[in-house]
Amino acid sequence: MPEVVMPKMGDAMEAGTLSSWLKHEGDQVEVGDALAEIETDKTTMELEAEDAGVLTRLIAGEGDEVAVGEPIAVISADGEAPDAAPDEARQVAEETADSVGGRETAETETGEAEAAETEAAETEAAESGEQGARPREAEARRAATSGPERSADGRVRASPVVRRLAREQGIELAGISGSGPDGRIVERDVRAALERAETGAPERSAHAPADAAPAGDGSTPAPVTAPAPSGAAGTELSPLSRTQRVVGERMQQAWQAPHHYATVEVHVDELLALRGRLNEALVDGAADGSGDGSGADGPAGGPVRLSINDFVMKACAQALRTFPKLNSWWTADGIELHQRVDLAMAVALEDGLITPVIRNAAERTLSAISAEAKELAARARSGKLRPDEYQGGTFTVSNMGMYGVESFTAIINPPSVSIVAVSAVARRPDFDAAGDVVPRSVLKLTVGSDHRVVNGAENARYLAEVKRLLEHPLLLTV
Amino acid sequence: MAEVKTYREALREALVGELDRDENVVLVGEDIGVYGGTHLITDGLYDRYGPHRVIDTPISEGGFVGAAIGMAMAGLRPVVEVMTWNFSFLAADQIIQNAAKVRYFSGGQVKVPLVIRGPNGGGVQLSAQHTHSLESFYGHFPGLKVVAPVTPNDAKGMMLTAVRDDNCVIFLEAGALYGTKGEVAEGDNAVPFGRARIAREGGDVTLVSYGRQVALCLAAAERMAEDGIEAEVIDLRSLRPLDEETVVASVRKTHRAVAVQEQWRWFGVASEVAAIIQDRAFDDLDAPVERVSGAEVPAPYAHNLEIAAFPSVDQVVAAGRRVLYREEG
Repeated sequence: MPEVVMPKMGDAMEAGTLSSWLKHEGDQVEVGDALAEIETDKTTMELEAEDAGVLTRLIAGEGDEVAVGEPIAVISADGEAPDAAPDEARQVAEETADSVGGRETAETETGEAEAAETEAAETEAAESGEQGARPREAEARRAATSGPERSADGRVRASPVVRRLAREQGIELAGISGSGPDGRIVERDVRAALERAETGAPERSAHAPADAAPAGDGSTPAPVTAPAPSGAAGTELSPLSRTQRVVGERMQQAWQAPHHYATVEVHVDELLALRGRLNEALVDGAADGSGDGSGADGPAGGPVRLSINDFVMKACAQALRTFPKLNSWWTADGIELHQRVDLAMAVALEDGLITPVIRNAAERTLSAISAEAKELAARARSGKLRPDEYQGGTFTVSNMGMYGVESFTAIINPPSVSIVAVSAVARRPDFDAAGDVVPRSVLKLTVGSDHRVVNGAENARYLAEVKRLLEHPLLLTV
Repeated sequence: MAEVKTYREALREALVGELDRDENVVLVGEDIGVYGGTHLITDGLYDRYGPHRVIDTPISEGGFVGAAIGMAMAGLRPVVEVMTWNFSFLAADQIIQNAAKVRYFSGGQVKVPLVIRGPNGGGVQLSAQHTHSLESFYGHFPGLKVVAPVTPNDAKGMMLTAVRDDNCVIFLEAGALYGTKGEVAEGDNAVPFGRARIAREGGDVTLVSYGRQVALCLAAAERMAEDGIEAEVIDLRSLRPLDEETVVASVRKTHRAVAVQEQWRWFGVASEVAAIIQDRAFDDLDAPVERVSGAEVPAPYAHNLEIAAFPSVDQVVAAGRRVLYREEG
């Protein structure tokens, strides 16, 4: 009977939340049928069946967080009698118990598990005609089960720091075997489990001496050390959502890179004029068929309306052709230069942010970039991005112009090494070449780079090229 | 500037500094004057300051401690030597009933700026009646401050703070370490009470101690380092007030703690430390807090038995390994 397991839907994914079942127990399913909706730290996706048959058992309940690789349901092949094999029955029963073990009220479920097991063993015994002997054997086998040990009341034994880590990292303690006295789960066990979740490696012997030292090698994101809440009057504690926790950890890791910044002021009068003419023409073209001619930002299919940010993204991508170092990844083995510019754009979410990626941005037209940016942003806000749509960026653009921000710096988005912060267009008096005061529209761009890869002069030259392209915007259309 | 001095010299330097600084400071005790002090802490001070400031007393702890309390109430700042803290039992009524309570009784009108000092603990074969560690005994009573420095620098710095304090300070010296040397800061190096010292930094396990046992913990930490275990050693040095923050912060980092004391296990400082840790760092603990204490017997006289009755490096290492869930090494 094939098990349906929690899939790994992204490199950083350690666990997912089963937000809802789309099929019910007993339903016939075909390969490719959507079984459930899985929510990860970044998005919500449908889980498709990889086997056809009857959905015999739903192991995970709605709202349960399940570690990658852990079973969430069982599909029986057509004609295969569910629960026929005693071992399967035992396993399923135990899993049922395990999945509630973490809530520390497994008493009744444990009872059921034992009942199911005894029943299964008796079925087996009846078949083999060895009644009486087999249940004891089943008992012995159960005693030898290597799962997490529990005291008689069904509590998982775990040290306080383990319980805290489990809460913070969203780990199900029932899935971890303890190496402390009486099977107590101790810190090294949970650190090892976290590491396994990250690398996908199987469980090592919990007693391996190498596990004894606290993890400090940076392979596991260290929990953010922050003071305990004051609990004072007039304060309110808002627990971290999964997204906030993950974004927080990644941000802290990202911040470890040695950042340096450079800012230029781009004169954008010419760009604004060109944008106006292009948008007029694009709307006129689209208005013939459908649409109300408003040119409102819409998903693909609506009229294209170029934003200033579209020009900036195009210019950033195009300039990277000349400065490939800024289009690279800082990796364990060295600096990986990327030929293709996969441009990530920061999109603010209610409790975090996400960076969907416009592939091959340097080679695409302004209108193609514009359409894709709008479409990705819309789906990002509704939590519908696929992991492959927000991973693998080689360069990032972050825009706060819509908030009227005059200038800001951004944190780079590892493993990429550079990010451009785009501010608002401001109109102000300036001197022209003749020394006369003229009105001028200006836009500030700040590029931040990882100094291990990009030095200050390269950063500045790159920015000068972006400025040149934006001040001669026709260059972006050829 | 720092110079290497013995614990004894550091204490003497502090007393000299305070005698010079404040004419209200007087020294009181048995054989501290003409004889120079049983432990030579006050050697030469009688000649330098005379009988009105370095006062020899009869062998009568209740009498001279009581007299010193009276001097303190009247405005002097006496520093009383008890030849060993074991003799303070004779003066316990004066210390507990008067020194600790007069300021409270008088609504703060009458202060008792008194230091009682002397060697505490064992380790020098003085047998059962002369081997007590009295920190938890005196630390139990509100109204007293209790300190137990282990380094020469802290011995001097905490003595300065003790003499300047307006309350009765129980100053427990590491008697077995009077001859040990360490760098001592020149001039006024007053060490505030209620602030622990991190004697060694480490991230794997916290060893909490004070007085002579700090040296034991440092030796244990060195031994554990051979197995890749980095122990953090905290020298409480001030027991009342006690620096909870430093202990808690360390355990938040290491998730494991061993409290080490020479005194007996029951009702000891180590129990208090364990209680503070479970109270304030419960969610950071990976193992129960261990205590390493003296054997539950009156201190033996025989050298080998005396050693066996006190905490050893082996015991501290074993406890450190237990809280790390490492097999006994």
